[in-house]
Amino acid sequence: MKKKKALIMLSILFIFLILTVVGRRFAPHDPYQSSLMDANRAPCAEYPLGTDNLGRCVLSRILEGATVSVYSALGVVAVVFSVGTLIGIVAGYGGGWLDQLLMKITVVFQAFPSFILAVAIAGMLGPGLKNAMLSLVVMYWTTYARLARSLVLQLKNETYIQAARICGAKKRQILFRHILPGILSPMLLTAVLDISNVILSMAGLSFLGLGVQAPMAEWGLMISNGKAFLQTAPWLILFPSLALFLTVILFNVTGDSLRDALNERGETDV
Amino acid sequence: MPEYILTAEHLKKVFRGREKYGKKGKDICAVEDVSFCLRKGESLGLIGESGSGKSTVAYMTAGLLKPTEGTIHFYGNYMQMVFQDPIKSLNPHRTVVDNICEGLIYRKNGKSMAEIRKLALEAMDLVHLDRSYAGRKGRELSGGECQRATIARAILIKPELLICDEVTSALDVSVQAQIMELLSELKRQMGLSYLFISHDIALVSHFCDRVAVMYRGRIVEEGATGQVLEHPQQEYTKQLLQAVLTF
Repeated sequence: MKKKKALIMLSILFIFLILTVVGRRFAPHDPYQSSLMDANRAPCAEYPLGTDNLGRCVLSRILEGATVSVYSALGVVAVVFSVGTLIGIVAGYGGGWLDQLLMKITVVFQAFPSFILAVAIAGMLGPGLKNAMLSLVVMYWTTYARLARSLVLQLKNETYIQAARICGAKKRQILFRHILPGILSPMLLTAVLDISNVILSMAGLSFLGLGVQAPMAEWGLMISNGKAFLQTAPWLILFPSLALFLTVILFNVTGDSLRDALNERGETDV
Repeated sequence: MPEYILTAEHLKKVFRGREKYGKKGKDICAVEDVSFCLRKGESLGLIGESGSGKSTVAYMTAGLLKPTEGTIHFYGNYMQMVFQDPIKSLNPHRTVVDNICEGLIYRKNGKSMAEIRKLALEAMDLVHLDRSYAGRKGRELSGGECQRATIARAILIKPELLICDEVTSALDVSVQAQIMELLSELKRQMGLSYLFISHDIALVSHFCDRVAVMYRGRIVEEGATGQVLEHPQQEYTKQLLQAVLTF
């Protein structure tokens, strides 16, 4: 039952991811075409979600911005997942002074309020999509490193690993046969649940002007631009926020259903 | 000494205490000056209360722990070990047959995966584990079935010595009897030697040829099973035997 639900949510998510890529083809207007004649028009037949202060179609810009907002977050999570997991495994499995060193570094990164750290780094490097992504990587990798390390430490002393050692397994073989498969599903789960956080942080950075730069279409940036016209043209904030909201919910619900499905231990309650 | 399969001399194991708040941790001496030997086809029982160092001796013998002092000589080709907790001894994410294959997979000796798989299935027959269990995950088996699977994994490489660390403690009484029956059967069939660690004196008295009694990290008494259990010489052995409910 839970597996079915997770499968349905995953397929919805998959369709959504495809739609974000092909969606821009269905945009009714060029998202970068401005016409001051049509500035701040309310939603109507020609512009279903209205236009912004430069007369650009909001719907087209939301469709265009979906790629940046969603895929930059996916990219950040992918990098953070690989780097963090690698560091965590090295620390947890290697142990000794290397573990001490890596964990001290992690603690240093965690000592700052995470979003402030991201803002500081993005501010230092200068605004732009790449720098914003980099600052988010710096902000998020510690979670994965610590999680991977603790999972590895947990598994390392399992009896079946001892048994493998007696069977003649080398450290590397134990790592690939037992430890990696063992930590993979909780790590992936964390990653899926984290995507929505990263999407929000990305939008947050763009909103503060540290992420994607105008005139590029991106949801956080669109919300930021719209805030000056909150009273006269509320759709400028409303629709990008709604897009953000729905996307985050979609990722969260999928992550939750995935967690439920993976926690299920084969048997079902009566 | 060709008739010996294993000799251990003056084993000592000190666990370094953990440093806390800059204070040096207390060192714990788990095993001190333990010597024993095991002849081919013989079963040596190691009994004693919890914390007496039995398992530490087993782990050192198996090579999972390095002795602080002392030497262990093994005169056979392979030794294997069966652990106390059968369910944790199997990787829950892998199938039973995959888990059993572990016994050979790291020392293939030129065998292909298909051959190893075939041997694993034969080992399942040998431990009376139905072949229909092969494709199941470890966590779907009962404790007794898991223990049969771990024994199958252990005998896959045809070891000369099997170390059993409290193999029946986590099982209920009827399953204990079945597992002990299986171990006796394997002993006859394969000529296995056993280092049998247990705190169940009744089991040891049935199964083992010789017994060593451990107390606070030392072997206090050693000898033929009947002699030690019926005419104990040491005060501690007497106490230990008295502590067992008479039946």
